[in-house]
Amino acid sequence: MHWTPEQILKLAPDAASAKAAQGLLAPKKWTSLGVNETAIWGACQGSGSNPYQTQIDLADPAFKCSCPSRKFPCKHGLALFLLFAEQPSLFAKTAPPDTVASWLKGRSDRAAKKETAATTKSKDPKDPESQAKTAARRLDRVKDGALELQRWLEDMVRTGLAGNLSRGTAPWESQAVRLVDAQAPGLARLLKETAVLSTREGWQERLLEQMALLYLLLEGFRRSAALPEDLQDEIQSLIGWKQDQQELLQDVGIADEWNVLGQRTLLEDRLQVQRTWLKGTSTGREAMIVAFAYGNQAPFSGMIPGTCFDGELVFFPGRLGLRALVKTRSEATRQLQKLPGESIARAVARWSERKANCPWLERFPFELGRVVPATAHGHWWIIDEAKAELPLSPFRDVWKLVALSGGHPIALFAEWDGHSLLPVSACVEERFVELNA
Amino acid sequence: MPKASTNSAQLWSELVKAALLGTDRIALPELGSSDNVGALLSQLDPSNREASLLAAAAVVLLHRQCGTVTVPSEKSGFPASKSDETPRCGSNAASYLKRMLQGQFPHLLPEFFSALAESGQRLPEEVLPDALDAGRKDIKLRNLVAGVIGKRGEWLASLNEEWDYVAAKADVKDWETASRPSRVSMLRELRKNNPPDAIGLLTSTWKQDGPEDRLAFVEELQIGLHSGDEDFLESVLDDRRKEVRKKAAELLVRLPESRLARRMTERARSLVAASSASGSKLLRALTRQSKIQVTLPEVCDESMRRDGIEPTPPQGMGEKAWWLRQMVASVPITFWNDHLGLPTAQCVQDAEKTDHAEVLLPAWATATKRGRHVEWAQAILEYALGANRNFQLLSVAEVLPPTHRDPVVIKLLSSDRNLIGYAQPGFNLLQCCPGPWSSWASAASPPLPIVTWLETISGGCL
Repeated sequence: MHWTPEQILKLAPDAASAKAAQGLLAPKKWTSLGVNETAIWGACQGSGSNPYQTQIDLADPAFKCSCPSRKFPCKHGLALFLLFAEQPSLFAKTAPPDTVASWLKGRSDRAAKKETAATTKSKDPKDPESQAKTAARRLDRVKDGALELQRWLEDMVRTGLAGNLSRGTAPWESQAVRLVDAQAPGLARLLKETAVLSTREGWQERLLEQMALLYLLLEGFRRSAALPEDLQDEIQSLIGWKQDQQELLQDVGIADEWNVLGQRTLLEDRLQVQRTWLKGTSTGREAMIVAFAYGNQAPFSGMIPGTCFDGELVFFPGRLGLRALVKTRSEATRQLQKLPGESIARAVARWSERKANCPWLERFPFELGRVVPATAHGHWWIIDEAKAELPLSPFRDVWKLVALSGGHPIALFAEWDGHSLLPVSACVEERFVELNA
Repeated sequence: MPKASTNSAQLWSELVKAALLGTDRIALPELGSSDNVGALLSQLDPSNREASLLAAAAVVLLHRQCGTVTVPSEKSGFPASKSDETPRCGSNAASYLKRMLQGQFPHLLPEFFSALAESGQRLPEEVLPDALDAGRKDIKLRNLVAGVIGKRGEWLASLNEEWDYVAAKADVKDWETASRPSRVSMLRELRKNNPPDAIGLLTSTWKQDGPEDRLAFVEELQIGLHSGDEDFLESVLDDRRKEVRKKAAELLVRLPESRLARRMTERARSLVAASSASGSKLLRALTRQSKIQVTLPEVCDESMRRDGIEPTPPQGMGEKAWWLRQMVASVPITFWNDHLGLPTAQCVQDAEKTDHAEVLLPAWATATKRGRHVEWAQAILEYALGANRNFQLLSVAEVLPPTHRDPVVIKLLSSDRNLIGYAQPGFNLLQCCPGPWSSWASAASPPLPIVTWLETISGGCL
């Protein structure tokens, strides 16, 4: 798999690192550049007397550098990777020096250990009785928090949303804090997102929509004993019970060639959240992989939009069945040259079915086959060959989309939230292009 | 926009209204009815009105959303663009271009665009908006951008007012009313094809034009500058705006026969002169006495200021030295050989021996560039590359023919440790040399790092 400089620069934790890395691209700055089947390495002259030892395990890729930077990957790692992408001939094919070899060995040993740990049933040192007690205590607190939120929502509509919102969103935020205390972080997030809506155009309907869905969730939780198990799972995870991912990874995965259709990173508080959308070539199944990172680090899933990999995914339990974890993954096997395509009517119908099954579906991947962009009065739409249309969310690269289309139909991958479509990537004449929001 | 059945639409808007005003103030809409939704809603507990409102909203909302069907659109997309015969540039080239457009080494953009145009390739579609924006912000890039955007780019530009410069075929009939950018491009076209006509056009509105317009226009006169421009420029020396006056003076200096150039020559004549012979030849040689005698001017009078002499020196320079430097820089360079009675190389050597070498030599370098005088450029360059390594003077290399200039630049680039940096003399020099630089690849052995780098940039497009 050949990484392009652009893909590499996307790994940078911030713009400053990307810029600094590009300043280190002079071959003169580097000595003992080397490469083998799995890794590249080199020494970069920094401000100190000893050069920094930089190394990259290309499989993941994983970075290591002897510099004191707290950013990850640091500028030396990025620069080494860029240099390799641009001038691979500078790298001698040799056996790695000892430090690199032992690092690589350590990595593969740990991976093997993880595998053994995963296959041997995880021993449980904790007292099952006290665990059950903790779980019961949490359930009680969440129940109290959920009930309080129900009463609070009822109060809101009794006294009227218009009047309440004229006093700002502070009461919403403090209610959200109470939900975190009640160990229901999922509810807290949903409430905060609802409050944000009150500042948007057409907020009245959107606000009631979100409150109604939240209320439905609370009612579902209250009566969950009467619901099917997959719906119970969905409700639990929406309220904020975390799935033990190590445990989940022990499940049997779904093997396929997974197409990386697009990636979107958003900032939630100080947390960077990255969604990567996949689709299986033979199963036709969609999956969403979520990666998080705090502060200076870039969320990094290791998956490059516009490529494919062979691997196994494990889906989170629940009615929706969209979110998944990557259990095993090969290196990217090939570049994506076309997107799976469907009509707008078909995509909307698939979404409706999923939404009816699980009302809390927030975003759904649309893989539209042949659409053109159109505009009027500052708003944008896409139209397909059957003359069906969908409104577009405002997004930065809208002119890029127009340029790619040239007035001709193109394949578009986008997120649909029930109201508007947010383009993520496009494919035209066998070229895959990412679109930024 | 997808539509759902009107019945639930009405119920939904009534629920929104109730939620906004509050159930304390307004009654809930009738919830039970005979259809499926009504049957569901009738199960709600009417005693808790708030719970009923929120639960009913959820039911109606989902009923509406999940019943979404698409209806035929009345909108239409854009008329399709014509197809491009020219190929896109390679993906490596595109990736470097994106980085330049994001602000890394943006001054390489002209070189890149020209190379692309020469090789008969065009920009990939996804880069077009950023490239068109670059042209919008930098008027000097416009022609270059327009040359590489292909049919798709022209099509795209026609859809967005911000990029209308691509199609702007300015007509001089609109001179009085057109926007500044299109007036500038009219002027530029005229200067390229018929320079004297431009002066006529300019003078027709000059009195009414604002200072920003006048500055933009007078800058365009450097294209096709000729002696016929002198009268107009001489009158502009009395303009109200200082920058406009300065620009006019700068242009007049480049006309060696102009009255301004003659006035400057007269001022400088007595200040820089052949020294009166005193003592024996041997003594002069031993004491390194210069054949040039320099006297600093005493005042900077009104007429000097009118001719563009800036009275306030830059920091670290005496004002009299500064005045002299500006004067000498404005005198046609060939004046000095006759005036001092010395061959060019001798002039440069003896200038160094005076107490004012740091005034004379940079001033002569400037005059050399203005007069594009090869012999002087060669002499100053040799001096600059000598033991003193006076890099400030290196820029005279731009005057030299490529066969003289390139080996010098290549030597400087090879000898420096840093690949690229503004402090690097070779790099500065490169900026004043016209491209394409990549043709130097064969001239240097071993290949220069910068040439390797440029080749990578241009990727498959050269």
